[in-house]
Amino acid sequence: MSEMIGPEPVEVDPGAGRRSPWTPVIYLVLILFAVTTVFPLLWVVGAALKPTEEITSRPLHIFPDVTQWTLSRQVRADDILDWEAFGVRLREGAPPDANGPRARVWQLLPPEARGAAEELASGAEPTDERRRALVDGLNAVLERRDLYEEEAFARIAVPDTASDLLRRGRQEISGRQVVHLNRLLLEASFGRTLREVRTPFDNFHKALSMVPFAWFFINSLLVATAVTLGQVTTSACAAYAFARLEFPGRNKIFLGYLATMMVPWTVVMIPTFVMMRAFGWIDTYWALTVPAMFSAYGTFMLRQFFLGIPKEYEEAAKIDGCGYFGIFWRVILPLSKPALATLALFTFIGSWNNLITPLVFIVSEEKMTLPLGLTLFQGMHDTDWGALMAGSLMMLIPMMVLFAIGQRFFTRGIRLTAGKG
Amino acid sequence: MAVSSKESRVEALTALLFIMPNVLGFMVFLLFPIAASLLLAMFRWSPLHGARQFAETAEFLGLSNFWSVIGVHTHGGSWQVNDPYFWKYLGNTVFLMLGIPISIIGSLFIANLLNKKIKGAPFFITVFFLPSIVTGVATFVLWGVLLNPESGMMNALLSMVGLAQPVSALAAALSIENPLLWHTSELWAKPTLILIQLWASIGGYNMVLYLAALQSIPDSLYEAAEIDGAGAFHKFVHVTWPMVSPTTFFIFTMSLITGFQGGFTVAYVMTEGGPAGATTTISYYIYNLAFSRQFDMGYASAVAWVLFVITLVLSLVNWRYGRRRVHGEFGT
Repeated sequence: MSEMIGPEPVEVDPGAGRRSPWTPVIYLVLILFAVTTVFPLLWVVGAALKPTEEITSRPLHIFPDVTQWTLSRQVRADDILDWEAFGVRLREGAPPDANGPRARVWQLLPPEARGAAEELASGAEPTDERRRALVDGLNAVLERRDLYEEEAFARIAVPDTASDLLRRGRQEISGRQVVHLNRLLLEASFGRTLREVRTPFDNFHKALSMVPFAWFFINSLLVATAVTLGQVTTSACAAYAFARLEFPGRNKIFLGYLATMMVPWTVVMIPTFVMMRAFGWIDTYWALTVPAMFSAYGTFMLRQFFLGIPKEYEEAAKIDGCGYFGIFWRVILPLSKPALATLALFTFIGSWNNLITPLVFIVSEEKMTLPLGLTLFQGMHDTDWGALMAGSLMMLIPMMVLFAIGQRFFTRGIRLTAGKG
Repeated sequence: MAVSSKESRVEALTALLFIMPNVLGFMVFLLFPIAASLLLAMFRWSPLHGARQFAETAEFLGLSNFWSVIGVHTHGGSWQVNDPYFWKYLGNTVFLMLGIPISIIGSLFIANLLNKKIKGAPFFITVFFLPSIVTGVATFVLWGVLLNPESGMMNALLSMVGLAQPVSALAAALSIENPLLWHTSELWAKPTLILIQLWASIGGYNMVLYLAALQSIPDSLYEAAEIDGAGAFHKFVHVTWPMVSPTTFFIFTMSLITGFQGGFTVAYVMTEGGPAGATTTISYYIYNLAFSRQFDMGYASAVAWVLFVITLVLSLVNWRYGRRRVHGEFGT
């Protein structure tokens, strides 16, 4: 990433409006930097769609092998890689003394499919007719709730999604999930003759079944929304008073606010922990939301913006009979939508990415937010990169979407906080 | 003037209503904890004894807690620091802050390029800004996978372009740890974390700030410099750099403050502070003291206050001496 750490910009020509001979070089540098910047974020999308073996396989594969993807777990004709061998293995379940999954499949198979399997096993041409008979028969079997036996799964390596389903018992799971389990059983008992199906969402299913990711996601959403609403409300109210109302001690209180912005979070965190324990708020949403609703930074930023609103608007509203609340609600807030949106976005993202607060205050898995949940997940399954990347992507996507929507507010808001005050 | 005094009383009461929620929260969740932390820093106390029995279980140590953090003692005739961990982790924190000047130069460089009235500048800004938005646990997990020494993507890429072998050979010849071990090597863990933070910071807030500063430089200054025969280099040194110096000062001050408090999340996710404590920063040390190993909240508070004082003193020094070098009025 050497282009990130560029030399002093001596060769460029600042401020000049005309096209300089350096323009192609400038584009090259910018494009290189852009590639470095987005590469990891694009890579994680690809990795989340690949099984771990494919992520670590060399030579490098940038894109997931989409030819392996399918959306349905039904057996298709090209899933059977070797018709004769498949027929032979099927027939091994035919003798009355046979047992195990192959025998169960044979017993449930319709007579036409059995006939086709017998013929294929003895070397007959895989004609369309025979293929169709066998594939239809297998698909009928796949839907049988009484095909798979839990003991069978003890001998084969099942993905965690399946073991989660198995724990739930046969009657509680849906038809699609039955097909999923049966398919796994078939793939395991017919070895290399039947292709393993792979859906683009396997990693996501896995991540969701290993830890309560859905809960992490909902919790993150709830906590970030509550913190954002709280912080924007309290900050806007206080900022209005600091910017527009005269009261004794105004500047001193405001200076006090500014001074505390330098206090490290480590100083505040320890007594806050003791306080949360005294309130009985440990392992509750209160601890994640309430202390974060009051922010000196938000107050400061909104005050700067409110100061820039011309007083004439207020005078006009006053003449129309508006009180202080009316001015705040009808004049200041509508004029400050960009600043409020900026603060809301920054607060939401800050809360979404916050690891330390849940780490200190939350114990139970179902109350964790995504950052903490993801570190928990990483600790348990750090070799399952596919699932790990799927988990990371679930945390990244909402941020990217939010950024795409509110992009213009970010750059505007940054200038606001450091601007002239 | 009775009316106006009544009016101003109403105004003050309204103001009180408006600031009340924020000020209450501010007092309960910020001022009170700050005061409590200073008090706690003078005790030996652990919450394992129960929050309600503070009076019975806490042992008053006064200022000696602080001395245990920063002080020295004699041992076998030689001077030794009381808490070698504190100094080691302070060193780590400062080392990680070496990324700050690189990040500032990088941001100014990129902002300068974007200020060339090039086509597609908004697109580039959006792309460059993205990492600073998403940086957090998810991207650190991602970097951990990318930089995995055995099967990570980065080393595969480097060996594909033929860089991995010479780098490893050079490291072996110098008998130092291989840089391709990235965050798993005691020697290279800190530089790796710096690189990861540069990825998130160069195109982020600072670049946008610089861009705004560059756009506000009047063209007439450059024209005047051109008339005086200044080349690109002289224009940068004599016009651009002085004109953006308030922004540089602001960015440097903020980076200093956040730098001393930083490094926790990335180290927690990628290295757990290791290897051999190489990436444990002061913040991480405080977390470990208070919440993970000893639950020694009194001592942890003392370390937190030492950190606070260091930040404060350095910011004041920076303010006192840096401000003089800044061109024009610095307004915040």
